[in-house]
Amino acid sequence: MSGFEIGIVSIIAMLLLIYIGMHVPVVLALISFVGVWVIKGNVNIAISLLWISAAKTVQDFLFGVIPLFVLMGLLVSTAGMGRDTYDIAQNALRRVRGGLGMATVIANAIFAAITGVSIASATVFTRISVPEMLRYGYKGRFAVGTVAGSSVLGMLIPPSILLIIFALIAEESVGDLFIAGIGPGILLTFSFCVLIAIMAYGFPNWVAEPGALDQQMDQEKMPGKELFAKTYPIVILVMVVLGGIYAGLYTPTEAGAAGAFVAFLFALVRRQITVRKLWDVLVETGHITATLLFLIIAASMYSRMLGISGLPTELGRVIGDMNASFVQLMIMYVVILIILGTIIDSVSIMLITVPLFLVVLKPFDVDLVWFGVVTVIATEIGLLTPPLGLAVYVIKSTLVQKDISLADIFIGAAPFALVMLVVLILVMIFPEIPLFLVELKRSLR
Amino acid sequence: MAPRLPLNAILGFLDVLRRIFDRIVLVSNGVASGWIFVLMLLITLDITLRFVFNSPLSGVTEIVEISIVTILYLQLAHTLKVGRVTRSDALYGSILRKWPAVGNIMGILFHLAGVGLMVAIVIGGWPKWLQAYHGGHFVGNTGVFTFPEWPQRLALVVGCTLLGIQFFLLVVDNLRGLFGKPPLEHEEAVDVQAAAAEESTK
Repeated sequence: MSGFEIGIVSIIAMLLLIYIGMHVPVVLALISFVGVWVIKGNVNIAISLLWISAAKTVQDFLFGVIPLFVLMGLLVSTAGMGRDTYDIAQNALRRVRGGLGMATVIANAIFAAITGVSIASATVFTRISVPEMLRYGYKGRFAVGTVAGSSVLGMLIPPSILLIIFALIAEESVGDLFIAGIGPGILLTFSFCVLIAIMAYGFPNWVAEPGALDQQMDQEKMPGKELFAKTYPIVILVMVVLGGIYAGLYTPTEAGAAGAFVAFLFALVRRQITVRKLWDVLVETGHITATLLFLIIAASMYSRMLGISGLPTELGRVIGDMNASFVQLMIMYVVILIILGTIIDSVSIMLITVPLFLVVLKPFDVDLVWFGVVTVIATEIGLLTPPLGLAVYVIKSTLVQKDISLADIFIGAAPFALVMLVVLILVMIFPEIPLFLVELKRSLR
Repeated sequence: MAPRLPLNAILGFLDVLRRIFDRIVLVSNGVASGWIFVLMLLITLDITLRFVFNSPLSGVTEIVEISIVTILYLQLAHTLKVGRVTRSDALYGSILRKWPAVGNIMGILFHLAGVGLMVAIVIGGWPKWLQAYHGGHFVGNTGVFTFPEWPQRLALVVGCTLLGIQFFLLVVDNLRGLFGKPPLEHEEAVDVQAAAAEESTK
């Protein structure tokens, strides 16, 4: 067998093994090990490939960004700031029809600007905004669908672990990717709100029990003092983390540390943290970090194996012969991402597909920052789609209301997935949406 | 019933070994978790000193570089134990429920693959850490900040050994499952996010 054929077989075997439930990093490492062994006919080369990836891949200051942003996200939740974002948004929208739904979206967008852990938003808002919506007569299906749909904002709006990981594999600047996420993030937030408005006026029975939307909310306007107390920590965090990166004051890793420290101080001041809770947060940070880094290391083994097999260059040549246009390639890429997203988690998908497509797309001279944003949005659509949309499963496992089924969440999330698809197409047609701010920053340098 | 006695003794001994192993995994996980907090403080201190007193700490970059690898390998076994290593378990889970025998045999193969890979990495890593130790390799720049390289190379070997053993314990669990016995020990991670959200709603 040629390296090319081994490469193709390895990809099929990999997807199959992942689908039937083998640990993803084990699959990647195993396939790489066997692949290199077969291609080179020497087990020692395969062993040294495993070791080099295991020892050297994450041995870089840049990778400190992962534990620190995870820690910051968990501390922000512990400090009760998830609840704050919801209260602020709800207060602003309390007279708007369908306002509780929009408040969930807006709160997610704000929360996304102070945390980077992808599943955090789904967990936090399942517990916070679903009960609130049910209390005011909203339908369970709409409530969980809104939480599922808006949870994806967390991965698009900086800081975001997903953007960080893309930056690490594509060797792009984390800061540029963070900036590029802002435009599409705002667009998506706005589109979700418009969607909810359309549903609240056009299809009120989909949103809530008859009459529920017409009743006046019994909630008082929040006193200015309370509003201020809830808002200023968020503003400070955004300034410390994103402001610091954009102003070029420090690196993303340092921003993560500073953000985590500030979040820790807020948790302390608000008496939300005990030694026990801090310990749980640290252990959880460790688990998430280990999970992500293990995946990254295994993916680096896999991309080294691909390099040895010559598959990416060969594939690039085959596709070049097919005379496939750039648009066709991108459509193919997005379809693959969405399909994979229905089966595996977003980080794994990115680590499997991006190294391959980076080589294939090389002749087209694409802007990798734009490519990263497209990748993230497309992957996220898959997370809302059956059979195994991950975001939906996370919500189901966090949900206290056991009468809401998985199918309900998928159906409720469907309109949001559609809107995401529209936004994705817009971002692909108009690269300025993510790149406008990036260009601005680049021109300032 | 003379032959039963040594078997029980052996099983008892293995059980003690497993408990010791569990303790080691827990401690190494704890050390790494605490170290993340120390890193946060260290980097924050560095930034503060740099901006306020214009005198950065030297060596922070190197310390972070060494730490990431070390933290990762000290955490992995426990991460696997609490079921946090990424896998798509929807299909596997339902097979395990519907046809436990098939599911457990699949599990044995999956987890044996993990054991095998860890053996391969340890074989590759053992001479490297000895090399780093005897060769006096270091990271950083001479005169500014240097730190020996061997601790992180050793952490890799130790971490992969622990992870390999943990994979092997998963194999044992699947074997027990084949004979209708419950898993050895079950430990679940605390859901920090959900707990925090719950608390803030009160």
